[in-house]
Amino acid sequence: MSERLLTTKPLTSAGMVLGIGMGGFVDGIVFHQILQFHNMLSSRIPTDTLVGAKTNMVWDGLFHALVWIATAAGIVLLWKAVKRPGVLLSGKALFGSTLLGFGLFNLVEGIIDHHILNLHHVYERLGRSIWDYVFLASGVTLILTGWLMIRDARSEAVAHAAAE
Amino acid sequence: MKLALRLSPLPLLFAGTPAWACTLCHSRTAEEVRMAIFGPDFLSNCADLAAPAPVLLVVACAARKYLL
Repeated sequence: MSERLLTTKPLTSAGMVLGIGMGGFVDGIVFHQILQFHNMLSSRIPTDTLVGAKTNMVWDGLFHALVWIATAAGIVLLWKAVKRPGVLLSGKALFGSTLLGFGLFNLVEGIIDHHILNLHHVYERLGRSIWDYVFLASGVTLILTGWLMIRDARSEAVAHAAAE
Repeated sequence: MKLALRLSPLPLLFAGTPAWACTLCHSRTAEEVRMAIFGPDFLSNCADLAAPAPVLLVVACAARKYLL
Protein backbone atom coordinates (compact mmCIF):
# COMPACT_ATOMS: atom_id res chain seq x y z
CA MET A 1 0.00 0.00 0.00
CA SER A 2 2.73 2.44 0.98
CA GLU A 3 4.51 1.70 -2.32
CA ARG A 4 1.51 3.16 -4.18
CA LEU A 5 1.83 6.42 -2.27
CA LEU A 6 5.40 7.02 -3.41
CA THR A 7 5.88 10.25 -5.33
CA THR A 8 8.80 11.56 -7.37
CA LYS A 9 7.73 15.23 -7.34
CA PRO A 10 9.85 16.51 -4.40
CA LEU A 11 12.93 14.70 -5.75
CA THR A 12 12.45 15.84 -9.34
CA SER A 13 11.74 19.42 -8.24
CA ALA A 14 15.06 19.39 -6.36
CA GLY A 15 16.82 17.84 -9.37
CA MET A 16 15.37 20.45 -11.70
CA VAL A 17 16.56 23.37 -9.55
CA LEU A 18 19.97 21.69 -9.17
CA GLY A 19 20.08 21.28 -12.94
CA ILE A 20 19.33 24.97 -13.49
CA GLY A 21 22.21 25.92 -11.17
CA MET A 22 24.63 23.37 -12.53
CA GLY A 23 23.67 24.24 -16.11
CA GLY A 24 24.67 27.81 -15.28
CA PHE A 25 27.98 26.59 -13.93
CA VAL A 26 28.62 24.53 -17.09
CA ASP A 27 28.02 27.66 -19.18
CA GLY A 28 30.19 29.85 -16.95
CA ILE A 29 33.03 27.40 -16.49
CA VAL A 30 33.19 25.92 -20.01
CA PHE A 31 32.26 28.87 -22.24
CA HIS A 32 33.26 31.89 -20.11
CA GLN A 33 36.42 30.59 -18.47
CA ILE A 34 37.95 27.55 -20.17
CA LEU A 35 37.08 28.17 -23.84
CA GLN A 36 36.53 31.94 -23.42
CA PHE A 37 34.08 31.96 -26.35
CA HIS A 38 32.09 34.68 -24.64
CA ASN A 39 31.64 36.47 -21.32
CA MET A 40 28.56 37.79 -19.59
CA LEU A 41 28.47 41.19 -21.30
CA SER A 42 30.89 40.55 -24.14
CA SER A 43 28.49 41.90 -26.79
CA ARG A 44 28.36 45.23 -24.92
CA ILE A 45 31.84 45.39 -23.46
CA PRO A 46 34.48 43.88 -25.78
CA THR A 47 36.99 41.62 -24.07
CA ASP A 48 39.97 42.55 -26.25
CA THR A 49 41.42 44.96 -23.68
CA LEU A 50 42.56 44.29 -20.13
CA VAL A 51 39.88 46.61 -18.73
CA GLY A 52 37.19 45.03 -20.91
CA ALA A 53 38.22 41.50 -19.92
CA LYS A 54 38.34 42.39 -16.23
CA THR A 55 34.99 44.18 -16.35
CA ASN A 56 33.41 41.12 -17.92
CA MET A 57 35.12 39.00 -15.26
CA VAL A 58 33.20 40.91 -12.57
CA TRP A 59 29.88 40.38 -14.41
CA ASP A 60 30.78 36.70 -14.85
CA GLY A 61 31.29 36.56 -11.08
CA LEU A 62 27.85 38.04 -10.43
CA PHE A 63 26.36 35.49 -12.84
CA HIS A 64 28.16 32.70 -10.96
CA ALA A 65 26.78 34.07 -7.68
CA LEU A 66 23.22 33.75 -9.06
CA VAL A 67 23.71 30.18 -10.27
CA TRP A 68 25.36 29.35 -6.92
CA ILE A 69 22.13 30.47 -5.20
CA ALA A 70 20.10 28.21 -7.53
CA THR A 71 22.42 25.27 -6.77
CA ALA A 72 22.18 25.89 -3.02
CA ALA A 73 18.37 26.03 -3.29
CA GLY A 74 18.50 22.70 -5.16
CA ILE A 75 20.57 21.13 -2.38
CA VAL A 76 18.08 22.35 0.26
CA LEU A 77 15.16 20.94 -1.76
CA LEU A 78 17.03 17.65 -2.23
CA TRP A 79 17.67 17.40 1.50
CA LYS A 80 13.96 18.01 2.21
CA ALA A 81 12.94 15.44 -0.42
CA VAL A 82 15.23 12.79 1.04
CA LYS A 83 13.95 13.40 4.56
CA ARG A 84 10.30 13.36 3.52
CA PRO A 85 8.43 10.05 3.78
CA GLY A 86 6.75 8.67 0.66
CA VAL A 87 9.29 10.00 -1.80
CA LEU A 88 10.61 7.59 -4.39
CA LEU A 89 14.41 7.96 -4.25
CA SER A 90 15.13 7.09 -7.85
CA GLY A 91 18.54 7.90 -9.30
CA LYS A 92 17.08 7.92 -12.79
CA ALA A 93 14.38 10.43 -11.79
CA LEU A 94 16.95 12.64 -10.08
CA PHE A 95 19.38 12.54 -13.00
CA GLY A 96 16.55 13.06 -15.49
CA SER A 97 15.23 16.08 -13.62
CA THR A 98 18.76 17.51 -13.40
CA LEU A 99 19.03 17.21 -17.19
CA LEU A 100 15.60 18.83 -17.51
CA GLY A 101 16.76 21.76 -15.35
CA PHE A 102 19.98 22.02 -17.37
CA GLY A 103 17.89 22.18 -20.54
CA LEU A 104 15.57 24.82 -19.06
CA PHE A 105 18.60 26.95 -18.21
CA ASN A 106 19.99 26.67 -21.76
CA LEU A 107 16.65 27.46 -23.35
CA VAL A 108 15.66 30.40 -21.14
CA GLU A 109 19.16 31.91 -20.88
CA GLY A 110 19.69 31.39 -24.60
CA ILE A 111 16.44 33.10 -25.61
CA ILE A 112 16.80 36.03 -23.19
CA ASP A 113 20.55 36.71 -23.15
CA HIS A 114 21.51 35.67 -26.69
CA HIS A 115 18.44 36.64 -28.69
CA ILE A 116 16.38 39.26 -26.84
CA LEU A 117 18.90 41.28 -24.80
CA ASN A 118 22.00 40.49 -26.92
CA LEU A 119 24.22 40.42 -23.83
CA HIS A 120 26.49 37.88 -25.45
CA HIS A 121 26.49 35.16 -28.07
CA VAL A 122 27.82 31.62 -27.85
CA TYR A 123 30.72 32.34 -30.21
CA GLU A 124 31.16 36.07 -29.74
CA ARG A 125 33.49 36.57 -32.68
CA LEU A 126 30.66 35.62 -35.04
CA GLY A 127 27.94 37.60 -33.25
CA ARG A 128 24.57 35.86 -33.49
CA SER A 129 25.34 32.63 -35.28
CA ILE A 130 24.30 29.03 -35.77
CA TRP A 131 25.86 28.26 -32.36
CA ASP A 132 23.18 30.31 -30.60
CA TYR A 133 20.56 28.09 -32.20
CA VAL A 134 22.57 24.94 -31.38
CA PHE A 135 22.56 26.15 -27.75
CA LEU A 136 18.74 26.45 -27.84
CA ALA A 137 18.46 23.03 -29.49
CA SER A 138 20.66 21.54 -26.77
CA GLY A 139 18.21 22.96 -24.24
CA VAL A 140 15.22 21.32 -25.94
CA THR A 141 17.11 18.00 -26.27
CA LEU A 142 18.08 18.03 -22.60
CA ILE A 143 14.51 18.84 -21.53
CA LEU A 144 13.10 15.98 -23.61
CA THR A 145 15.77 13.51 -22.45
CA GLY A 146 15.23 14.47 -18.83
CA TRP A 147 11.46 14.29 -19.10
CA LEU A 148 11.62 10.82 -20.73
CA MET A 149 13.93 9.60 -17.95
CA ILE A 150 11.56 10.88 -15.26
CA ARG A 151 8.59 9.28 -17.00
CA ASP A 152 10.52 6.02 -17.31
CA ALA A 153 11.46 6.06 -13.61
CA ARG A 154 7.83 6.73 -12.67
CA SER A 155 6.59 3.87 -14.91
CA GLU A 156 9.11 1.50 -13.34
CA ALA A 157 7.90 2.50 -9.87
CA VAL A 158 4.25 1.96 -10.83
CA ALA A 159 5.06 -1.46 -12.35
CA HIS A 160 7.04 -2.37 -9.24
CA ALA A 161 4.15 -1.32 -6.97
CA ALA A 162 1.64 -3.27 -9.08
CA ALA A 163 3.81 -6.40 -8.92
CA GLU A 164 3.85 -6.35 -5.12
CA MET B 1 68.67 31.57 3.04
CA LYS B 2 70.56 32.28 -0.18
CA LEU B 3 67.54 31.28 -2.19
CA ALA B 4 65.26 33.49 -0.11
CA LEU B 5 67.65 36.38 -0.65
CA ARG B 6 67.69 35.75 -4.39
CA LEU B 7 63.90 35.61 -4.55
CA SER B 8 63.34 38.66 -2.38
CA PRO B 9 63.02 41.17 -5.31
CA LEU B 10 60.41 38.95 -6.95
CA PRO B 11 57.36 40.75 -5.49
CA LEU B 12 58.62 43.98 -7.05
CA LEU B 13 58.17 42.43 -10.50
CA PHE B 14 54.45 42.00 -9.86
CA ALA B 15 53.79 45.17 -7.92
CA GLY B 16 53.54 47.51 -10.90
CA THR B 17 52.15 45.29 -13.62
CA PRO B 18 49.03 46.51 -15.46
CA ALA B 19 47.20 43.28 -14.50
CA TRP B 20 47.31 44.36 -10.88
CA ALA B 21 43.64 45.28 -10.81
CA CYS B 22 41.73 43.53 -8.08
CA THR B 23 38.23 44.99 -7.83
CA LEU B 24 39.02 46.98 -4.68
CA CYS B 25 42.62 47.92 -5.58
CA HIS B 26 43.84 51.46 -6.18
CA SER B 27 45.58 51.00 -9.50
CA ARG B 28 44.79 52.77 -12.75
CA THR B 29 43.40 49.60 -14.34
CA ALA B 30 41.26 48.86 -11.29
CA GLU B 31 39.82 52.36 -11.35
CA GLU B 32 39.01 52.01 -15.05
CA VAL B 33 37.33 48.67 -14.37
CA ARG B 34 35.28 50.21 -11.57
CA MET B 35 34.30 53.10 -13.85
CA ALA B 36 33.22 50.62 -16.53
CA ILE B 37 31.15 48.63 -14.04
CA PHE B 38 29.54 51.52 -12.17
CA GLY B 39 28.95 53.63 -15.27
CA PRO B 40 25.55 54.87 -16.47
CA ASP B 41 24.64 51.35 -17.63
CA PHE B 42 25.16 49.77 -14.22
CA LEU B 43 21.50 49.37 -13.25
CA SER B 44 20.38 48.23 -16.70
CA ASN B 45 23.26 45.72 -16.80
CA CYS B 46 22.20 44.42 -13.36
CA ALA B 47 18.59 44.11 -14.52
CA ASP B 48 19.64 42.34 -17.72
CA LEU B 49 21.95 39.98 -15.84
CA ALA B 50 19.11 38.99 -13.50
CA ALA B 51 16.43 38.91 -16.23
CA PRO B 52 16.50 35.12 -16.82
CA ALA B 53 16.06 34.42 -13.06
CA PRO B 54 12.34 35.31 -12.68
CA VAL B 55 11.57 33.69 -16.04
CA LEU B 56 13.36 30.50 -14.94
CA LEU B 57 11.40 30.58 -11.68
CA VAL B 58 8.07 30.80 -13.51
CA VAL B 59 9.11 28.13 -16.03
CA ALA B 60 10.34 25.84 -13.22
CA CYS B 61 7.03 26.23 -11.36
CA ALA B 62 5.12 25.44 -14.56
CA ALA B 63 7.37 22.42 -15.24
CA ARG B 64 6.83 21.22 -11.66
CA LYS B 65 3.07 21.46 -12.10
CA TYR B 66 2.70 20.00 -15.59
CA LEU B 67 5.84 17.90 -16.33
CA LEU B 68 7.12 16.41 -13.08
